[in-house]
Amino acid sequence: MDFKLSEEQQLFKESVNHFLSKNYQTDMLRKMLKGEMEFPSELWEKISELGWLGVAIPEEYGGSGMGFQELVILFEEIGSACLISPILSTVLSSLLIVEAGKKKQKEYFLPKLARGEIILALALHEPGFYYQEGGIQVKASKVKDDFVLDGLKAPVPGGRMADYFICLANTGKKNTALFIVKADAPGITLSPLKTIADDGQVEIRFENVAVSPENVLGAANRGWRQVEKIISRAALLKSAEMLGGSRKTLDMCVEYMKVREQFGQTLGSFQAVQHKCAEMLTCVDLSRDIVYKPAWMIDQGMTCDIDIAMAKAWTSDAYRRVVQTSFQLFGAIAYCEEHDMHLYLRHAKSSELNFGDSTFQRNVIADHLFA
Amino acid sequence: MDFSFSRETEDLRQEIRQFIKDYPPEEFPVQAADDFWGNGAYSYEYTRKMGEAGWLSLTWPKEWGGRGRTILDKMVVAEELAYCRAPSAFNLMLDGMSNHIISHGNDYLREEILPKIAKGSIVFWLALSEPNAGSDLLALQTKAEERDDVFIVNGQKIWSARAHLSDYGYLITRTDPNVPRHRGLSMFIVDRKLPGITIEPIINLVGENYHNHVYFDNVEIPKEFLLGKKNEGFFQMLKGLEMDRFWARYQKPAACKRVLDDLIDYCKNNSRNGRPLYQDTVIRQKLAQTAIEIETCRLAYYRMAWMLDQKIPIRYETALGKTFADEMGQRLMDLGLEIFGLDGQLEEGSKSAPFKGLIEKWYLVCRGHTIAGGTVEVMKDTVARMGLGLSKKG
Repeated sequence: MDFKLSEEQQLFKESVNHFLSKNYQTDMLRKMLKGEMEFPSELWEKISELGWLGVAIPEEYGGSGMGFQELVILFEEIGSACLISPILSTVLSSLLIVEAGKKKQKEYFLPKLARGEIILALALHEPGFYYQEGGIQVKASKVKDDFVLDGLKAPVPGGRMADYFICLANTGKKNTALFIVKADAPGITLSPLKTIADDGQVEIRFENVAVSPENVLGAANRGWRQVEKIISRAALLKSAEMLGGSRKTLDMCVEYMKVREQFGQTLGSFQAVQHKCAEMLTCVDLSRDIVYKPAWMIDQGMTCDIDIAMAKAWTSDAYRRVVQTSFQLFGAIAYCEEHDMHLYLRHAKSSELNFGDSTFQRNVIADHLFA
Repeated sequence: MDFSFSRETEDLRQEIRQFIKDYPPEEFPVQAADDFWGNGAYSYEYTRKMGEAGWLSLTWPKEWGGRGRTILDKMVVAEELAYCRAPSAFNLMLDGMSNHIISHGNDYLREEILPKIAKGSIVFWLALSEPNAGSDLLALQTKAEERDDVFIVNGQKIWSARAHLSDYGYLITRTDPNVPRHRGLSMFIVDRKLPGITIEPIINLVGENYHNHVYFDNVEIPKEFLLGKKNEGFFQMLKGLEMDRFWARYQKPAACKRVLDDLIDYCKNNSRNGRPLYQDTVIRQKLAQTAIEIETCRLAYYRMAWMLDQKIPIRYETALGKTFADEMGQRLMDLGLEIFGLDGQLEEGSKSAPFKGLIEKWYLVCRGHTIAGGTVEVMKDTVARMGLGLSKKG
C-alpha cells in the first residue's frame, strides 16, 4: 500500500493549483452568476493548451493518455478553486467516445476535443429521469436511413457552450442509443436555464431533428450500457471536485476562525467552534482515500462501481455538511454576495444532485449488499 | 498511490485464516467479560495459542524475538481475528505495552517480560486512570517515593481493565510533586502479587467484572521495574499514546463489518408485517450507509498503519479515527436493534434472542467506547488543535 501521490502526480497537482490561482478568481464566477460575463474564451484556450482536456484521451488521438488518478487530481483542484466550466462535460464526452465510439468518430472528435476546438455536452437528463434506463422518453424514430429525434432534454450541464450534444434517446422496444447532434442542427431549440451553480445548463427541444447513421455513437441500441459506465465515472469526478471543494471550504473557515474576534477572543478558541471544525476535518480527511481508491482501481482495470457509489455518497454528504457548517461559523458575512461561501454552497448542492445523490448511491450499494 | 496488499501481506492473511481454522475461537473458554467486540475480551488459552504461533510478537524487532513485520501486516491479522470474533483484542493491543518496554525498558525488563508477553503466558493491565484523573490524566495523585532499592507506591487507580486476571500492571505515578504536573511522572511495571495491592471489582452495566479499582498501600516496587527514566514518564507515554489509540481501534472496521454481514443475513431471512426486511427502503439505506462508513474507516486505518510504518508523525489522525470508529459502532448497534424490532430487547438467555442477544449487549457495552481511552470530546479537542492549529486561548 502507498498513500502518497507519485512525484509526477504531485507536480501535476501543484501545476493545476498554481495555474488556477493565477488565472481564475471567484469574482469571475460571481459575474457569470449575474449574467455579466460568459466563460472567458482566453481561459478556455489556456486550459486547452495545458492539455487538461486530453488527460483521458489516448495519445494516438491527440491526448496525453494519463490515468484516471490524474483526472481525479485535476478535478480535485477544479473543485477547490470552484471553477465552473465545460471541462467536465468535455472530458465525459471524450470518455464516452473513447469507450463507445467507432474508429472514424474517434478520429474526428477526439483530437478536436483534446485541443479544445470543440465542446461537447451529454444530453441525458429529461423530466422524470434520474440515472436509470427506464426514464428515457426522447424518441428516435427510424425514417428511411436516418433517425429522427423528438422530445425534451433538460437540464443539460455544460450545454450553453456546446457545439455538439451526445443525446441518449429511446429507439423503441425499451432500447436506447446515443446520437451525436450539432447544437445548431435544424429542429433544435435551446433555452438557457438559470441553475444554482450556474454551470451553463440548457433545455434542448428536439423537433424532427434528423441524425444520419454515422452519427450514432457506437453500436445502436446499446446506448444505456455505454452511457451507464460514463455516469459512474462522472460520479467519481464529481466526488473529486467535492473533495477539493470541501477541503478549501474548511481551510477558509479555519483561517477566519483564527482571526475573527468576539467576546475578546478568537472564534477558533471557543470549544463549540473547535469541535465543529474537528467534525469537518473528519468529513474532509475521510473523503480522500474513498475517492482515490476507485481511481486507482480504474487504472488497474478493476471493476469499481460500488466503490464509486460509496465515494459519491460519502463526498456528497461530507461536502454538504462542511459547507453548511462553515457558512454557519462565518456568520452573517457569509450571507453577502461578495463572500465566496455561497459559491461553494451552490457548488456543493449542484455536485450532490448531479450523477446520483447519496440516497441514489446508497440504493445502488444496497442492491449490491443483497445481491 | 497503491491500494493493494503486497504478496507478503496476502500470505500472512492466509496464514492467520489457517490459524483461525485450526483453532476456532468459539471453542476456547473466555475469562474476561466482553468489553470489546469478540466473543470475549480475554482468553488465557487462546492467548497462549496465539503466542505459540508467534502472533503476539509479530511486529517486534527480530532481536527481541519478533518477526519484524509491518504494522499494516498486523492490522490485516487483526482484521481477520476481529471478523471471526476471536478473544484477541487485548492481545493485539499489547503492542503498545511491548513498544514501551522495547524502547524504554532496561535489560532486566526486556529479558524478563518480553518473552513472557510473546508466549502469551502473562496478562497486563493498564493502571492509568484515577478517580480524579480521567480525561485529565495529569491530575493523577498516586505517588511513588524512592527509598533504597525500591519505590514505595501509595494511591488508587480506577478502570484498571483485567487487573483481576493480570500478572503485571503498567503503572504511571507521581515521583516529584514539586514540579509542573507533567514533569514529575514515572512509569513502572508492577507485579500484581506484591504485598499491599488490593483489587476490587467494578461491575459494569451488563453485570460483568472487567474493570477494577486497584489500591496501593505502601507497595514496594524494586527499582529495576522503573520503566524508562524517572520523571520522564509523561513524555514517554505521549510517544506511545498515538500508537495506543491506533491499536485500540484498528480492528473496529472489521468487527463492524461482521455485524453488518450478520444484519444483512438477518434481513434476508426475516420479515416484518409480511414483507421481507431487505425490501424495506429505510433499512436498505441505513445498511448501505453503514457499509460506506466501514469502508472509509478502514481506509483511514490503513493510512494510519502506513504512516506508522513510514515513520510519518501522527498528529491527530488516530484521535480522528478513534472518534469516527466508536461513533460508527454505536450507530451500528442502534441499527441492529432497530432491525430486530421488539426482539431487539431480548437478552442473552432469552428464547429467540437474535444472535443470542450479542448485539443487544454490545448496544449497551459500546456506550463505553466513546468514553474509554480518550472521550470523544477530548479527541475532538486534539483534532482541532493538532489537526487545524486552533488554540485553546487566543
